[in-house]
Amino acid sequence: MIEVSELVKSFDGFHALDGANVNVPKGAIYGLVGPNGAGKTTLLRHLTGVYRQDSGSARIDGEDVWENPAVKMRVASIPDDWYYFTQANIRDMRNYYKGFYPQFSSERYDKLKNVFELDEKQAIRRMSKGMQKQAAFWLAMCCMPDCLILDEPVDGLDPVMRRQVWGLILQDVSERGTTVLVSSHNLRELEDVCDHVGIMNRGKVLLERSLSELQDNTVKIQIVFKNEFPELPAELTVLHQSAVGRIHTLILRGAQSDIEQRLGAFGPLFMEAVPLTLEEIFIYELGGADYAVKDIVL
Amino acid sequence: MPSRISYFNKTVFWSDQRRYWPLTAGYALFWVLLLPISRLSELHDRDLSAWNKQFETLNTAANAGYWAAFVFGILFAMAAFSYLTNPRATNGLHALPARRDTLYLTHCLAGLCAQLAALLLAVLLAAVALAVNGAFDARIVCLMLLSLALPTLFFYLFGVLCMVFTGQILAAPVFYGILNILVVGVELLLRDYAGSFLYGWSGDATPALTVLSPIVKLMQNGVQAATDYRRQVTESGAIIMKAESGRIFLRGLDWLLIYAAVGIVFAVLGLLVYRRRSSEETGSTVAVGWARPIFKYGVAFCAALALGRLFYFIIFSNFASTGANYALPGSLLCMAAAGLIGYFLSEMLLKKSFRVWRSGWKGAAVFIGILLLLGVGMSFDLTGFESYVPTIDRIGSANVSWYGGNGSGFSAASSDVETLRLVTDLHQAAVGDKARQVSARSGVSDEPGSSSGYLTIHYILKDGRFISRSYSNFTLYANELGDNRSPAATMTALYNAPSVALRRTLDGYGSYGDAYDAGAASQDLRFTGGYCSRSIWSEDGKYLGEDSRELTAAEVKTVYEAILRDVAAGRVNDSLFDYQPTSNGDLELYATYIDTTDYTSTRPQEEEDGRRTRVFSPRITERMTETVSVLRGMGIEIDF
Repeated sequence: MIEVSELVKSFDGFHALDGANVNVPKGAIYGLVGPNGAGKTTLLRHLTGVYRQDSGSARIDGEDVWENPAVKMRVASIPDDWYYFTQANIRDMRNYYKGFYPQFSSERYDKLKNVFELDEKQAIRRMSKGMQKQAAFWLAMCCMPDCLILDEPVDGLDPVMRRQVWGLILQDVSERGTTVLVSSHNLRELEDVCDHVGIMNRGKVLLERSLSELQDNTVKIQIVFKNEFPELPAELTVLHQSAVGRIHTLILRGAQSDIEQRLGAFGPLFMEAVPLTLEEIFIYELGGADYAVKDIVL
Repeated sequence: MPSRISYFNKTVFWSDQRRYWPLTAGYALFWVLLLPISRLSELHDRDLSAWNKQFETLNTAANAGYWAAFVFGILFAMAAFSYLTNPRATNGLHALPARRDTLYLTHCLAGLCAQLAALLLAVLLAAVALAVNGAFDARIVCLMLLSLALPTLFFYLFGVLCMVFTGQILAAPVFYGILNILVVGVELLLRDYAGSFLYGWSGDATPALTVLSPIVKLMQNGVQAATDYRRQVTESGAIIMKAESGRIFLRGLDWLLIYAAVGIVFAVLGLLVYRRRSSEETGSTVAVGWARPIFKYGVAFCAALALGRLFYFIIFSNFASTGANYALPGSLLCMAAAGLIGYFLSEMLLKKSFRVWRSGWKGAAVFIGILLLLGVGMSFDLTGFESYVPTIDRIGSANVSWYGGNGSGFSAASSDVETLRLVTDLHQAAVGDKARQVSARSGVSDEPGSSSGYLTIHYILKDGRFISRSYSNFTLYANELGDNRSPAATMTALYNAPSVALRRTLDGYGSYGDAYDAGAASQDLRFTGGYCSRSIWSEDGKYLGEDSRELTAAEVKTVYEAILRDVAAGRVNDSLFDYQPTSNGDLELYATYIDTTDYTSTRPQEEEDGRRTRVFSPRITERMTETVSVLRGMGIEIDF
């Protein structure tokens, strides 16, 4: 559905995107994660047709997004800085969106009125940040998009509304097969909703897999050896290693069964595979890309 | 699936109308107040003919039309394209399913339609007011609409182009305002600077490039109601353009049409720029990459000219007051300093940072180097400007003026070969004396036996070209009168040339030289009478009253012929070095002459014969024996 290939974008000589590749299957919820300045927002802006790439391509269903209203009609986006006219209220913005999205559903608009409980006649600029975000969701969902592109979508929403919004998105995905590309720093939340994840750093997508693949391919092992910690074979890719007493914690890349078999050969006293959170995968993967959590002594 | 190409989006269009309706309403109110309402009293005036009502109403629209378009054009452009100056808005609108072309053209059209709607309303109300007062004419109404719509088209689309080029809302009106006068301003500054570099440079000429400064051009050219004129040659040979009541038209319409066409070109340019304009450039002073160097070096160059002149004035004004206008080093120094300021200022604006010294010094050095080279190159007179003196066979006419510091002065306008030869001799002498004249400027020039003044020479060549030279603090030395090629001798020769001598004699106290020229050229100077008055004093110096009398036409003609004989005999010849203004009381010779230039009469009812009346106040000296004798014969005594 969404294909980003070797996307390059520079701002005054700085490579914000440096050959980024992203593939989002139809109907997937794809979480794009990465440190600040990794290029996530820049990549999303290419997919909404705001930026034109220096090279590479940003396509949806095989068609370039840039200057392609037919594709953009099927895409709704909620950027981190959603735009509305200064004097506008939600109803004004609804009419505005209706003019651009022929499939805009007034029926859905009326239904969602009960969910968001916002005053349609109140100027949007008078609303709180969270309320503005709700308004953005309300209108975006009414555009009946095939593709939803969200940049920090629930930032500013209260926990109840976060759940409500994610519920709506998941419902749309299951009922209409909507493809969702979401960028967020809230990895805990993404872990609950995403089925695919891409990790970006320095303008590149370091890895992208389905969440289950990602979790299967990275293993956290707690292990205790009888004697000194042995020298591990070079075939084992250790992303992180730490020790508390005799208990060593290893984060390794590879299949769990293979890793357990190789470590078992050293005759450990205790060995256990512990499930990895997305946050841990993010931290340890980026640790290998010179983005480790640094111990800072103040 | 290929995207459907559309160039208009009604949602954007109506959204724009809703967003800036107060501006549209204000514009409509402005025109309604100006056109129909402010003219109501005149329209109701029963003494005013329908023709006059139409004329005045159209004139009001035409006079105010381009000024209002100039002011409101940029305001509407700013309103329509304000989203290009706010990153959030730019991203928001560009994320919508519409092509850049569609957005640009729709916003453009929305702003234009808002203005045209306001104008249409005002014109329709004016038409109703005219109709109610029995002065309705569909042609006049159409002309009114054109006089308002055409400048609107140009100035608004010019404003749009400025908006597309910038990402800063406040930069747009600054660019717009400056670009409207830039070319003329730069031309005038360059002319002004050339005076510092080139000996003989005259800054008198009218700017030649006003066409590239639209508001200046329209102001200079004028947009107004006019009527047809009929060319009539009178029995005396005068040409009169007589107004023909009935047909009113719009003067300046040709320029309005040209600028409107340029506006369309600007719109297309704007579209091309908009297509290439990156969303991320919102907030930049110049949002289009290739325009940045132009902006940077353009600002530096303009600062070097404008600010440099100001610096020069502040720092070197004392020197200038002593005549040191030809101050090349000072001018270059000031230009370089101001150019550097302009360069780094524009660099700061472009980079949005004060830390531009390290990255910008190379460009600044190159710029200053080129600027200095140009300045020095100009001072070397590589084009041969300073030494060029046209040959007599190429000159159609010449005009020389001399304003001496001792009160002496004359002006000579002539096309006869002998006088032209004297003019080119003087010019040649000025060119040959450059080194001494330039060095004399910084010294004291009022030494005994010398006379300094301001000399200007204008030529109109036979091919229509205009050549002008000015020499300030031009010094003549009395001891060089014997050298026929010296400035003093050539100037004196011209001063005493018969045509010049006659002119300054007739023009002794007045400023009727032009009238004399016109009369003499027509060779039909008809004297109609004269007047003479003289104060009478007793021997002990007591004022006894006035002795005055009228002169008949025949008497005046006799006096004039006597003056001609004195001039021919060289009895009016004078020296530029011991000039002594004298007063003879009032002697006035009234004459009429045929005006051979087109005279436009706006009074169709009055008969004109094309003759103009002028008064000459000749300066009579004791040496003019013929004239003195004739006057005495008439009983007129002249006190010398």
